Amino acid sequence: MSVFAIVLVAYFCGIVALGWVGYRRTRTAADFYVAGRTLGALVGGGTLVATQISAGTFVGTVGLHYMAGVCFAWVWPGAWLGWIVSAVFVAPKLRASGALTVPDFFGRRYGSAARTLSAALIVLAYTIFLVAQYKASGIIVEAVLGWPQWTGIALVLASTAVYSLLGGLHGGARIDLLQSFVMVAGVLVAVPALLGHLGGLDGLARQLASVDPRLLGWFYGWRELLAFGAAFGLSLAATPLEITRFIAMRDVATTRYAVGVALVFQAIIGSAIMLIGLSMRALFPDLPSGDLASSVMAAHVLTPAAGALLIAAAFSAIMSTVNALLLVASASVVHDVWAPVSRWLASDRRQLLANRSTIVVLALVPVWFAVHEVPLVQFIVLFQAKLVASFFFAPVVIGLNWRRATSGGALAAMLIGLAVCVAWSLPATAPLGLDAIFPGVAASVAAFLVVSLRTPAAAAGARP
Amino acid sequence: MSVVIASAASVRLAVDFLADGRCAVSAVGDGFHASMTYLPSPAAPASELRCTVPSAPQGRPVELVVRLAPGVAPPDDEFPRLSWSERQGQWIGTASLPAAPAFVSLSRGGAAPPARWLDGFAPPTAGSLFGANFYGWFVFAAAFIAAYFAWARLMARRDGRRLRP
Repeated sequence: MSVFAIVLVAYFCGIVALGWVGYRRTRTAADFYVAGRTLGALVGGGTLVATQISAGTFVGTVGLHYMAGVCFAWVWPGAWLGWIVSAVFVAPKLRASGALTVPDFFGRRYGSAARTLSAALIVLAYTIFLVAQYKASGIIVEAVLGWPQWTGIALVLASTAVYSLLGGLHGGARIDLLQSFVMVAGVLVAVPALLGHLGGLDGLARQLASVDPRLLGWFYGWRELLAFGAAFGLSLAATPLEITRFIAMRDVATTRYAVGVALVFQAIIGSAIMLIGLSMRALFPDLPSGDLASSVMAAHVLTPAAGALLIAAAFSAIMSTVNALLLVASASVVHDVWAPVSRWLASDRRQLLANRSTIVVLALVPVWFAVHEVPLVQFIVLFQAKLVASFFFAPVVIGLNWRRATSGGALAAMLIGLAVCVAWSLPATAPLGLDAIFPGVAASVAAFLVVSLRTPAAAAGARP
Repeated sequence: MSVVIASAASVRLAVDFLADGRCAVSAVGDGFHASMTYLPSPAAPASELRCTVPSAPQGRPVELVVRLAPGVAPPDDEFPRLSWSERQGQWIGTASLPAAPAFVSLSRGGAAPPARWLDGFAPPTAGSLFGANFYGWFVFAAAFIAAYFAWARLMARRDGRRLRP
C-alpha cells in the first residue's frame, strides 16, 4: 500500500472512530445541536478554527496569495476582529438567551416570522458555501489523482455526511480538533520543502520580484484589503456557523479562551498558507488558475508522504466546514421551521431522526451546482460571507445589545441587507468602487435602526 | 499520485544537464520554439544543478524531459518531481505538468532538515518591501494574539473564574 493510501486510510479510520464516540454520547437534540454545552477551550478553539478554515483557505486563499502576493495576509486581522466582536458582544448574551440555534434566538427575540426568515437565509447562504467546498474537493482530486471532479465531491459527501449523521456536534467538535492539528501539520511540512527549492526567503523574494514586483508589496490597495477583511470580519461576528460553537461551550470564559486558541491556530495556518501561495507562484509562475496551486504542489513538488499529508489537511478543512454547514442548516430546518409546527417532532428521538434525514437532503442539493463551472472558490466563499454579514450583522450584533430593537426592524434588516448585497454584486464592476459588503451591511443597519424606532418595542421579557 | 493534463496543446520541454556543468534547455510547442544553453554559475552550490526555463505560452501543459550526463546517477531531491528511468547508461526524468516550472533543479546530499529550516527562514537580503511586509505580519500577529490573551485573562479574573480546558 502506498504512503498516500496509508495516511488517508488511517485518517478516515480516526474520523469514523471519533464520529462513533460522538454517536454514543448523543442522547438528546441538545446533544446533537450544541454537544450538551460541554466543550472546553481547546476543543472549542479547534472547532472554531476548523469551521472557519475551509476550502476557501486551502484552495482559495493559496490561490489569492498566488495571484496577489504577500498583501492578502492583511485580510486576517479583519477576520480576527470579527471573532473578538463575537466573543465580547455576541457570545455572552446569546448564551444567556438560552437559544440552541441562531434562528431559535431570533424566534425568542423577534418572533416566529423572523425565526423562519433567518432559517431560510441560513439554508440559502450555506448552500452557496457548500458549493465552494464541493468544488474545491473536486479540483483537488482531479489535479492530484487525475480522477473526475465528481469523485472528490462523492468522497467528501460520503465521509462527512456519515460522521455528521452519527455524532452531531459531540462527534463533530472532536473531529474538528483533530482536523485542526492535521491542517497545521500539513502546512508546516510543506513550507520548508518549498523554501528549500527556492533557496530560502531570499530566493523566494528574488524569484517573485522577477515575476511581478507587486507580489512583494501591495498588489491590492487598502480599499480592496479592507473590503476582504470586512467581509470576513462582519460575517464572522454574526455567522451562525461560529455562533453555534459559542453556544456549545461550557461558559463565557471558555468562549474567550477558545477564540484565543483559534487565533493561534489561524496565525500558524495563515502564515504558512501565505508562504505556500508565494512559493508556488515563484516555482510555477503561469498556472492556468491560482486554485490549482495547492494540488499542483502536492502532486509535483512535495514528496508523496508530505503531499499526502497536505491533501489530508486540505480535506480536513473542507470536511470540517461541510460538517458545520450541514449541522447548522439541518438544525435551522428541523428545530426552527419544522418542529414549531409539528407535534410529531416533540420527542428528542424523532427530532434526531428528522435531523439526520435532513442532513442527507441538504448535503445532496449543492452537488448539482458544484459539478458545473463556477468562479474561483474563494470568490464563492467571499460572496456568501457578504450575504451572511448583510442580513445577520445588524439583528444579531446590534439586536443582542440594543433593547429597543423590534421584530419589524429585524425583518427589514434581513430583507434589505440581502436585496442590497445581491443588487450591488450583479454589475461586473462594483458601483462607486464600493464592495457589496459595505452597502449591504450599511443598508441593513439603517433599516434595523429606523424601523425599530418606528415600530412598537418588544415585550420586556423578550429584550436582551 | 498522478498529474494534471489539460486539453490545450502541450509544450515539449527538454533540459539536458551536460557533463561540463552547462545546461541546455529547449521548449517547443505550436507556433514557438526557444533554445538556450547556460554556463554553470560560480555562485551555485556544488550540491545543486539548476537550469532556468524560458517563458512558454501561458496556461499550456508541459511535457518535461530531463536528461543527465551519461554515468551520473539520479539526484536525492529535485524540482519538479520526476519519474526516473535509465536508458543506455543515461538517466532520464519525465513529468507531465499543468504549466512550465520557473526552473529545474537537482540536488544531492543537501543539508540536514534543521539546517534547511534555518537556511530557509534566513531573512531576505533582496526585496526590503517583502521583508517589511512579511516580518511585519508576523510581529503584528504575535502582538495581536498576546494582547488578546492578556485581555481574556483579565476578564476571567474579573469574572472570578478559572479555565480548565
